[in-house]
Amino acid sequence: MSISANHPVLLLAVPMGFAAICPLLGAWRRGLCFWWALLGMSATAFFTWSLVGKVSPLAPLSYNLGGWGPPWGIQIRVDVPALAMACATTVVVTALVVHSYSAARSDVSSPGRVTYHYTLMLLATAGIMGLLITDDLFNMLVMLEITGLAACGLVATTGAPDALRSAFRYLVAIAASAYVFMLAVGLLYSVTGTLDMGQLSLRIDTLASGYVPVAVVALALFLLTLAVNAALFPGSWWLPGVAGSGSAQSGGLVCALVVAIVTFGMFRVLVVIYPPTLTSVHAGRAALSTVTAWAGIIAFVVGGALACFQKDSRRLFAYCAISQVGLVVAGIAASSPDAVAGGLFCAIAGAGSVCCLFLSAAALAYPAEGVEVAGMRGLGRRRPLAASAFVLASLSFIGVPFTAGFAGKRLLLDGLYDKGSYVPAALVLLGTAVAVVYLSRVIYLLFAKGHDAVESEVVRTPPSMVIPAAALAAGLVVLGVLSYLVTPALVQAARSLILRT
Amino acid sequence: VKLSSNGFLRNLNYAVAVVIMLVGLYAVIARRSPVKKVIGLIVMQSSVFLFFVAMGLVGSGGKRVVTPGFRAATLINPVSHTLVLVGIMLSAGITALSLSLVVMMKSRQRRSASTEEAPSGDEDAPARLLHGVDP
Repeated sequence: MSISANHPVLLLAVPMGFAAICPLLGAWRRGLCFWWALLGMSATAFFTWSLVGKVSPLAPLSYNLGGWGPPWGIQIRVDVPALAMACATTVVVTALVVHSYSAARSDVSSPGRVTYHYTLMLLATAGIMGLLITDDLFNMLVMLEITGLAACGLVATTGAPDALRSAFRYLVAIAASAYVFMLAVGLLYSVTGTLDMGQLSLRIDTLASGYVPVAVVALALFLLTLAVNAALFPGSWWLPGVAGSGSAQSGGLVCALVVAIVTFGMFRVLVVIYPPTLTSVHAGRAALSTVTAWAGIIAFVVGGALACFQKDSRRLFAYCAISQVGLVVAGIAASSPDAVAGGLFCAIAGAGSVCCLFLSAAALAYPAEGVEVAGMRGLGRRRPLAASAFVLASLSFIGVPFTAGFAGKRLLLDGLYDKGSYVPAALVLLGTAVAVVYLSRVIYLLFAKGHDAVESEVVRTPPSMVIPAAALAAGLVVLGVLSYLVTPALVQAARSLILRT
Repeated sequence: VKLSSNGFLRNLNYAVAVVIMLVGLYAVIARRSPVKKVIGLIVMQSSVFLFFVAMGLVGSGGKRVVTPGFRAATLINPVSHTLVLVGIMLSAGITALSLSLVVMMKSRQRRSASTEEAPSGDEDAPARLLHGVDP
């Protein structure tokens, strides 16, 4: 058995193995946990990035777990969208791990937290990777829960009463939706007799007419539960609390990565299992995807509008994430190749920029944990590198040319325009204008005059907090400039999935 | 349940499972007490398991034991039972984490009520609570 034969499964197995050993290592030498997590993330990143170029849009890599093929066993399938998201995940999580280095070292009062922090970080990565590459619906549910529970634990590790309450609210939301999701899996399994996504799609197409409503109800329940998990606007009640009360790393992980990955689950459901070409469930699918697309557009605008009124900086970033999720969902539900590819690219760019906002704001506010928006006055003049990372992340979030956000939004708008959805396209532009409003207010405050009196007592920000933020910001620019290398493959993959060619 | 040709009775198992799930969902949404929310989650999970078990019944459904001359179509579907098994592990994790969060919240409340002070330096209480050691 060579490594290359088992390469696809390593994306999932490596972080999970590292997560399993991390608590044991932490019990022996707590200081090793950071290096162990960094090693684990480097190994995961190596295996993920070494697949780049080996996966073509029309020929995904597949791997049968335990040698059991699709009708009975679980298949892992690495296609271009999954690989792109996985590459982004490794970069973002590595940045989060490096960012927590100084926080973990200085945290002498609560030594037990460090072990939990890194274990849960690795576990969440394993869940995210599994969700991205699995081709089995029930397996997707399990991975969704691993990710959610790990993220929940990560929020609670600070031990503050606020954080515990928000973690509990988050847990109740994801647990209740997990059970409803499981019911939907049961409904779909009862009429198709399979759990493999490709097989499901084929068998839904040939359903007897009496069973078609069951498949449509299952789709509605999938979309509903994933909307709660992804914090699509009305289902986003838990997110601002999680962002505002946990650590910067847990907020970054949940707001940037977890919600983006759940929207990828929505892509799996809407494009892979229920592609628009299905004739049996066509009417029900069309109605549900229209509702979802409008919900996404509304979430994009309303999330942005609510962000304008936030006083706490981390709650503001949470509303940024809510607005971003709306945009991604709108693209995926529009179900045209360009819009889907644009939505996925926006998810990647959004994960990078929201995470960079969290990390650079934490570096700016250091040594404080969180900071009010008004309290950021003048901080940028003291810490120019962190401030420029913040500005770059904001620009990418807004979608300024030569940043990653621009490439995604342009592709998405192309897709909407080609479909003739002019009103949603106009609303996307409106939402972008709102993003300019609330982010430029923060940027203005960062460079405004003030706080000159405390200039002398500035604590130096540890480089381990600034460098990941700066690296993410640089990555956003590189991705924006080199987007022409990624987008054609994404569009081609989306087209082959949607049109079944 | 003896299956009849009547459509309503044939789907009775599923209808009951969905009603139980809605009872659980009501508890999760309407009750303020965290413990009652957790109980609601447990009711929801049980209803899903009922649904899966009911789904596995095919025809009159014999046990899944391969004997000479068996016909696969007449046997209980084992996959749905396997899925319930995985679901039980999943819900055990969810219940454990939610209960430990409840315990931590309560201990914080009690401490802040008894001392009326700013949070003390004892920040690794959650860690000790997770190991079952009372602080």
